Amino acid sequence: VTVTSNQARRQGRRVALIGLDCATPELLFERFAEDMPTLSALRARSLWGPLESTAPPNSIPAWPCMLSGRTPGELGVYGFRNRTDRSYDGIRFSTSKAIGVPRLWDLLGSAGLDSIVLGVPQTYPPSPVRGCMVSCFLTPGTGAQFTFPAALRDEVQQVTGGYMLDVTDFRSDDKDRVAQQVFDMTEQRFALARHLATTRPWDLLAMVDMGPDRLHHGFWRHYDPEHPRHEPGNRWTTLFRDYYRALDRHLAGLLEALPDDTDVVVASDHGAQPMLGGFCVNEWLVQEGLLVLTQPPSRPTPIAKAGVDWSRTLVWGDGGHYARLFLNVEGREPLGAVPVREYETVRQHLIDRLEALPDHQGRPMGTRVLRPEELYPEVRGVAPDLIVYVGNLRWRAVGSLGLGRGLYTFDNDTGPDDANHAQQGVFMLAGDGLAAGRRDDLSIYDVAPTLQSLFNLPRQQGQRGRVLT
Amino acid sequence: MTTVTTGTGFVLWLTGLEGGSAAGLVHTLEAGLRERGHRVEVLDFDEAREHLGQGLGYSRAERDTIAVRMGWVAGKLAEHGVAVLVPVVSSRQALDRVRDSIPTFVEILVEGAAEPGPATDVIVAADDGGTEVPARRVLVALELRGLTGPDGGDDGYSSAEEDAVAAHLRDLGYLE
Repeated sequence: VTVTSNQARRQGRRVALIGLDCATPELLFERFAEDMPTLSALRARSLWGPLESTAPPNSIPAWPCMLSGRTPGELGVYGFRNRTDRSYDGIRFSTSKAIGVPRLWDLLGSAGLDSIVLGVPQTYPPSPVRGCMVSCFLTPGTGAQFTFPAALRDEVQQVTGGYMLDVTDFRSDDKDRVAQQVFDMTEQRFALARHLATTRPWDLLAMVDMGPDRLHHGFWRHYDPEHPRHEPGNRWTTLFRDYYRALDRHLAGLLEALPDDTDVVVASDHGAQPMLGGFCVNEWLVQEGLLVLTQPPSRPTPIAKAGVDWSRTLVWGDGGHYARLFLNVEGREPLGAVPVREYETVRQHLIDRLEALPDHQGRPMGTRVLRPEELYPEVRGVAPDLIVYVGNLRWRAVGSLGLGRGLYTFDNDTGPDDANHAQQGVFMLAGDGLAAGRRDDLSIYDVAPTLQSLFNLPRQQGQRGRVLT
Repeated sequence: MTTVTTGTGFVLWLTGLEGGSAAGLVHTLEAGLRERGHRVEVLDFDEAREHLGQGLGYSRAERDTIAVRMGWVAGKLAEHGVAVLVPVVSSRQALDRVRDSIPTFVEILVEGAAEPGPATDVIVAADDGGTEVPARRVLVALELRGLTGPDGGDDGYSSAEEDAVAAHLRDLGYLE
């Protein structure tokens, strides 16, 4: 018998990357470790530990950063939406087309290796891969072309009985339905992964399940007695435990279907923590005299519709799990009001003021304000001038104006999530001949070079991170 | 600097062309794409008949068989970043079959005389059934679709799709 496969295939390994969006070290490694016998057994033979996420710790940019080994600055991707130019309304969603460097499956494809890519964030529209791809939760709907090859769509719909890209109508008060969808989506995602992994050749299986993230945002306060809005004895008290037990069963089902020589990675893009409340960052900028409105809105209004007097505005913000502040700079923005020579002065003023802000009860809040050029070795695209972690991510940054409740809000209309993101996710890597044991120095940038090394693929020029094996 | 990056291969399927009238348009497209740094392949039907259609005759079904085989080859080339031009007369069924198998498929329907220029009546139909654009803007249209151009093109969503994504993210509490 003559083996004629290429060098990468002959020497390389087979890797299953099981992504659990928002999986949190405290839950997987401690709180529910005994409820997850499969995961815990896998961890016992893994190199494992908390995984330091990107700044900011958000599904986008964290997943594309993990799988390319590049920082958000190098990708020019800072969140779900990014400014496309220096205008005041040029904001677009992040799609696969914004990623200008190869991700893991692109490198494998070039080496003649096959990938199955399932639900990995920022893969819509799906790009041609050697293998197949089912795009992510940012796909507009299953009516869109969400698979590569296109013909795979019918198979996916048939296998799943109607593919769930994400949980729908999440803001609904119908918590029963939302909970059911979270459970269903995870079950379906793992079933599809198992189907794809057993019906076609692959060297890399890269899947991401959004279930943990949706569970955390929707139900954290019901589970966690430490959450400020926790109600003891509520009917969802055991939902987290039930979910993680179910997740462990699905994990077991998938692992059972994989060839014995498969290296298994379990990873998340960030963690989660209770959300204490919302801080109205644009209201604060108005109070500080840095943001000037033509007329204060009388009802909740996004900044894009609030009527900003741009010629007199120095700073405005975009809300979310973190805030992004933009300075209105002379010669850069159309009606810039901050002289270039005062750019740093204004930024330092914002940093000093925001980091000194107390919470609603006058206690230190611990807000952190970050300069992109200090976070990233390269800053591409139109980056925010400052990134703000309100209460070090324990508070949501509310961008809307006209809430009429001052700077702090605890109303679900403006802060519908129970949880905010946390800086550390999880990482586990188990494989024959690979070192095992806990590590506390793991970075999301270590993932791509480590997995590339398993396939004997060289580090790409400019890639961050270390090879862990 | 090359503009070819991973995943920018695509297939331009030119239909409605008659014989020599295709040559000018194909040549214009080919030259334009090469200028933009693409690797370009033109699949010629007569050549394909020789290599992919041995034993096949000239009935509609037999022509379609060759066209579908050309589509398979074109798709494989596109997977590797090649811009593939396929001027071919094929049935709608054959075209649909090819279209379904190639995510970066663009149909260019040429009606009437096909010399490129202001008077040429060529329609570019997006593979997702989207907006049609005039022929002399073929390359512009491709840029808009993110298939050519130095920056990789637009963001990939139509305005309706963007609304759908925004609504979803608002539901999740990610957007204001």
